[in-house]
Amino acid sequence: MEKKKPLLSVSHLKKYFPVKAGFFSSEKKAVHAVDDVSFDLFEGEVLGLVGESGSGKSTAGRLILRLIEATEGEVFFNGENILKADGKRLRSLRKEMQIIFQDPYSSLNPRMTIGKILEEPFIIHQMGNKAERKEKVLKLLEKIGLHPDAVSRYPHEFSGGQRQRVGIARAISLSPRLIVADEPISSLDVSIQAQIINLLEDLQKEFNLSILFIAHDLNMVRHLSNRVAVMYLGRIVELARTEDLFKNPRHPYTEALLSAIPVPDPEKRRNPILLSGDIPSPIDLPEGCRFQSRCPKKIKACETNDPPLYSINEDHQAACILVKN
Amino acid sequence: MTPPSDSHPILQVKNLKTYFYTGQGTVKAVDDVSFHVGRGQVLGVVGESGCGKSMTSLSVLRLVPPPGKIVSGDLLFDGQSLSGLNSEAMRKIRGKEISMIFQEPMTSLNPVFTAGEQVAEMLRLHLNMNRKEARERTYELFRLVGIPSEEKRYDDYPHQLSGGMRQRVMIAMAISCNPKLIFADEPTTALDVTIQAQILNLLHDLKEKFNMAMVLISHDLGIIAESANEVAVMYAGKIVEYSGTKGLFANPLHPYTRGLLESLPRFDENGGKPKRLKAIAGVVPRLFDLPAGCPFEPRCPFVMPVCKTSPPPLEEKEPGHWASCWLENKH
Repeated sequence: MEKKKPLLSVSHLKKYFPVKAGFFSSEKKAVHAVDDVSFDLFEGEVLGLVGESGSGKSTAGRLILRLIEATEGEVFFNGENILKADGKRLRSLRKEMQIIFQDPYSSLNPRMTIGKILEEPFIIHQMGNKAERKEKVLKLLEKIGLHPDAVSRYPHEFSGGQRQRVGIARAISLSPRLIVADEPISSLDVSIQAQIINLLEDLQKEFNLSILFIAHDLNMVRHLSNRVAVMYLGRIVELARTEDLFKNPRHPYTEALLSAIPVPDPEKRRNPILLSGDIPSPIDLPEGCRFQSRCPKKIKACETNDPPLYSINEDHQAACILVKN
Repeated sequence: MTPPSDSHPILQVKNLKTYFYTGQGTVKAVDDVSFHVGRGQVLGVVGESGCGKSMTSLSVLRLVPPPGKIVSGDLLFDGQSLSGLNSEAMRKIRGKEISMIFQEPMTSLNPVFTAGEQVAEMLRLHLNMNRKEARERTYELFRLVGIPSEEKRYDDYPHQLSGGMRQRVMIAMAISCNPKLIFADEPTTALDVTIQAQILNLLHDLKEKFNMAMVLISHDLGIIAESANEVAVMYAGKIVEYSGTKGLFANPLHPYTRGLLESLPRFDENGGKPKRLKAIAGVVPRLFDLPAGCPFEPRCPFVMPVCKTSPPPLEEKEPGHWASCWLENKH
């Protein structure tokens, strides 16, 4: 990717969810869901965002679209700080930034036909008359590979993969520039996942979309993304070009994560780095490095130093003190 | 059409049929399935949602929920027929001789009992231990499955434990009575990759230590490749391919198995651009409205006229490698 202005620039984004410590307690605690996250996403780029459940990757995606409000930080879309945009401006911005949800069962209104679901964005944004809208809906269906009959049918008549196609059609209907794809394939059957990934890939190329691809299937992320960011406990711990990250991971967490991917080849024996223990609670974060409680390479300094992202080269950063040394 | 059998398998299933009688028609959830599990061996069962892989294991445990019914079939466990047993006798085998690990440990543990009590209950019920013995043995089991500070965790309720810890409690429960056979139904699907690696490693160690046989049900071909000795691929209630693991991955014979393997992303070691994924066309069939011939026919790239009219039998195409396909091994 040559030097360009980023389409999306996220800077020091934070989201804390307050939790009740107890009925009589005055102590204030918070879940540090997203804790100081910064990254850029360029025009036409697919940025993979990976991490385990609770690492804050979905929350980050939702903050960027302002589906939830950030506690702190800035999100620049095309140079404009959208966290400051008012309701009216936000509504018109939503034409340019859309989301694909994980669960195609709960994200489509069961009482609306596919035609109505796909027409709604055009109605909300007052685009075209009835006939024009209908034509647009039919074009969308063709694009995602569904029969025109689908217009008058309801979501329950379709399989998970077909519903996810509708979810994708809805997301691209207003020709957005940015799409947040939040685990778009994880609820689909294995034989269907490749279909949806191919569809996303085609649409990305056709419309030069920028996609924030949130997923935990690391092989699919590797397949689709130009760059990958790895999150752990609300932080990005490593960010690099895809091949660089997969071939030469520098953060011990990334190493462990990649070594844990099962390989569908019985002749190849892998040796997963087994991490001890679970992810610590995002309420009581460990002091120093967040990963130290599970890190096989921990040194004394990790107990007190909370490492920022150190640059290894222009495109590769990792938040580990060993990288700095 | 009985797939290979060794002389003394721990489990032998012959022509199992489990049907559901619903308003929309008869659903053949398990349709004439035969397989065996050797002692200390791992049989991997691969398939997508609704292919009958979970219902097969529930049938062996005789836990098929209504309106489902085991219509026919022989279930031989350790030389003894399970089909003829009354529910009292079956209860003695279930949990003791054959146990099960489910996919979602949150819903399969009882939320109103502590983790320890649930494991101890098994010991008191099946091994007639008293409270104190059962508690001591539960501590041991917790240590064995890698639950730290076991005495504290004993008194924790399931919701106080993380997903990985809950799955460890399930495993402790499953191995508590030294079973000869464990059904593990997607044991790591609800878990993160690094935790999944821990749990798979633990299952492998326990299997070696106690010489348990396991039926490992998963949709993840990577997990199957690493853990199973033999693999059964299921599609629409039937086993469509059955083979030793190496043979299956090196030379998949059924177009569905080939399709599954080819749809996975592959990477060029020299960093070339990833190739477009080869997706299997079409949708997973609905079980009450299956095609008359081969169930995979509507999605098969090699479909021939015969596939549309008659379902292919499961045949030994190569020594120890069975597939149900009309194509003669030449794809």
